[in-house]
Amino acid sequence: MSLDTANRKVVLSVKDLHTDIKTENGVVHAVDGVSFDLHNNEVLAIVGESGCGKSVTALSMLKLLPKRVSKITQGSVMLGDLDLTKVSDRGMRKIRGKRIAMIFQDALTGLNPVHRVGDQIAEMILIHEDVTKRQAHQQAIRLLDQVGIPNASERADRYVHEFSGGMRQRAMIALAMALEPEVLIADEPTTALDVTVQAQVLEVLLEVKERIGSSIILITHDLGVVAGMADRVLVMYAGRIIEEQSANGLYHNPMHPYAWGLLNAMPRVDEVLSDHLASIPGAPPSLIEPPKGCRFASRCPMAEPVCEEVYPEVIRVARSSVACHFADRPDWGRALWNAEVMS
Amino acid sequence: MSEDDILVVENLTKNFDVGRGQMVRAVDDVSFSVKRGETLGLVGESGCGKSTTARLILRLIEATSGSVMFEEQDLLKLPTNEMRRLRRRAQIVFQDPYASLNPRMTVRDIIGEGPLVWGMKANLDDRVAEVMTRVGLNPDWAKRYPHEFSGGQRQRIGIARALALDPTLIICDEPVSALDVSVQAQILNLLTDLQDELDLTLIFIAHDLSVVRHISDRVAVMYLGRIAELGTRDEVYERPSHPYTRALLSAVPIPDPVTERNRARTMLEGDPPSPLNPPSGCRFHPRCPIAQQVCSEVEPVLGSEAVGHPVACHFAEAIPQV
Ligand SMILES: Nc1ncnc2c1ncn2[C@@H]1O[C@H](COP(=O)(O)OP(=O)(O)OP(=O)(O)O)[C@@H](O)[C@H]1O
Ligand SMILES: Nc1ncnc2c1ncn2[C@@H]1O[C@H](COP(=O)(O)OP(=O)(O)OP(=O)(O)O)[C@@H](O)[C@H]1O
Ligand code: SF4
Ligand SMILES: [Mg+2]
Ligand SMILES: [Mg+2]
Repeated sequence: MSLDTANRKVVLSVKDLHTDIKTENGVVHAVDGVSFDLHNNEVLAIVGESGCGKSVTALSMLKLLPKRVSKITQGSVMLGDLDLTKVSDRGMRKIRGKRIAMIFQDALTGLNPVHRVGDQIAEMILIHEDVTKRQAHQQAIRLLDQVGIPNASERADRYVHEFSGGMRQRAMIALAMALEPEVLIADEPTTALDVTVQAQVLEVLLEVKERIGSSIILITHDLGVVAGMADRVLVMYAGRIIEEQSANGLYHNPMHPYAWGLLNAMPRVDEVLSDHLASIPGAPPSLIEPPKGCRFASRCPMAEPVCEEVYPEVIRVARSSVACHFADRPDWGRALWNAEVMS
Repeated sequence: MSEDDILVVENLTKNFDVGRGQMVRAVDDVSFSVKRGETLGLVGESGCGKSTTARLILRLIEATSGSVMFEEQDLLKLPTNEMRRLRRRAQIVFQDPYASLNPRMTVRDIIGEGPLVWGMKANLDDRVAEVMTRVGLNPDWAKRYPHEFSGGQRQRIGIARALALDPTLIICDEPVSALDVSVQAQILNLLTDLQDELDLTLIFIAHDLSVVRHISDRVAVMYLGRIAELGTRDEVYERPSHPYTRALLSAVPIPDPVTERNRARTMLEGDPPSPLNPPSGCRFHPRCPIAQQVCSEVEPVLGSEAVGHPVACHFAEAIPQV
């Protein structure tokens, strides 16, 4: 968590990414100018409420969105000196799994239900590496064993629906990590799991990451999970990043009023706060015709007329950044939220 | 039944016959009581029997055995017509605000359905407007359909529907699980306010232990169809005495990087077993970090002797408190 990213190599760099999605109601600007760097061996979390564009950001990077309805309209995704937005479909097939892998909330998105789990991992190894079938199968079993699947050699011959929720996520981690990719994108990997199983799976994820030295983009809406896992955090709101900080910085010194509200809206298992939680009124704006000013303005207790009119540019403060006209007045924001809680 | 108990559940059991002579023991000999005006939290992992317990209490499904005393009557023995009368006073709010509201009915019809069934035709619109205002919905929206509302608003509609008949007890089955944190906070605050204003009794079902701590006066922890521990909020969260409660609490991530990374964690192995064939003796024994021989042989009873509040563990008093 105190991992200093200043001196670390950047493995992946996203610049001004825009992704549109066509829907019945109009074009959704699901990702609307997202930029960030992922450093070597770090865990970078993306948090934000449902529909803010976390998954579309991830799927855009891997070009996994359906072409028929979606389009990256602007920006770049640099993996080393390769711009993924310009790579062909065939090219992407060589990169996915090998250099960037992804795990999903639902294992049935990541694993094929009609193939044995072990065969899928072996197949992946066979495609990319110069090994025999037997060796690939042995390696698959070893991988399943490493992610804590009991009786791995016997389970390798089973199908994904024969696995429990926790086992499925472990198997997906084994598949994703099989080729030791530089980057792993985990989109809500434990959201469907019970907490006791979630704790196991997160531990496995960190273990595997340390062993192969990759970097992780962890997408989640659970600020507790982020606190335990992330070095740095991006807070997304309505298609944009509104704050970026080290995990410590964000939790102890959130700069954006939305980040502050979010952190104080969460009840805690280790203490009782007040009777009333900070609650952010209203709901996020539509991404079809987003407001021209700050997208949080209609819900923000600090908002002034300028907020409705002008989009706040991202301000860099040391190694953090924030997009708010009044980011230099965090205490004021807090006082307003507090007043809101009391009322 | 003590005077201030509004609900007393005794030895409630539900076996689902799933064919081939197999039984799912979804709820197994569960007993607890709820005092008038309090919130009882019911927590536990997926499949432990929380929703089944709720459905049994409201008789949405029939119990295999046991009793449910509500306002001094055994609901499980009441003839249907009297049951309907009492059911007015005990309502339920479901998890999924999308699935639990009929998409072809207006908000007015959804909220007004209950009162209409009870012959409250006069002033129906006033009644609907009144409960809509109470839950923070603009009464001018009464003619709209559920899909025109956000998730949080739909959950408010669900709560308004439950309130329309002036219930004394509301069972909330995962009412905020589908909502984002900021909206979840709105609904939790609303429930707290409603409870104060209307003197409601709540049974609040959730798998999120942080939410349950926030809202509950007392808490029951369930594991595989049984209650493992039952106590006041502080007893359960500050002095957890069942090894399962402790493991569960230690697995919940805390939104503070310093605390979260420096805490001791009891890591449980494996997944919760199937209620088709619950383990012998203590159901938790295959995953329990302190299990002894006796645990696999003798089922521990839910007793208060060891630590002062009910815990079902042979070694409850032996666990050092931190
Ligand atoms: N296939 C699709 N078709 C139409 N709209 C889509 C599609 N995928 C995403 N969207 C829209 O794009 C926006 C961003 O969605 P995205 O899935 O990235 O959100 P998210 O942050 O991952 O949310 P969640 O926490 O619910 O997973 C939303 O408004 C969503 O409705
Ligand atoms: N109609 C049914 N037929 C057979 N088994 C059932 C039925 N309803 C529930 N069960 C089983 O009973 C057990 C308890 O289910 P229940 O829905 O009460 O759990 P829960 O604690 O509410 O879980 P969740 O947190 O997932 O909502 C589960 O094993 C479930 O599969
Ligand atoms: S009775 Fe035994 S197995 Fe069950 S919780 Fe207590 S120590 Fe663990
Ligand atoms: Mg998503
Ligand atoms: Mg349930």
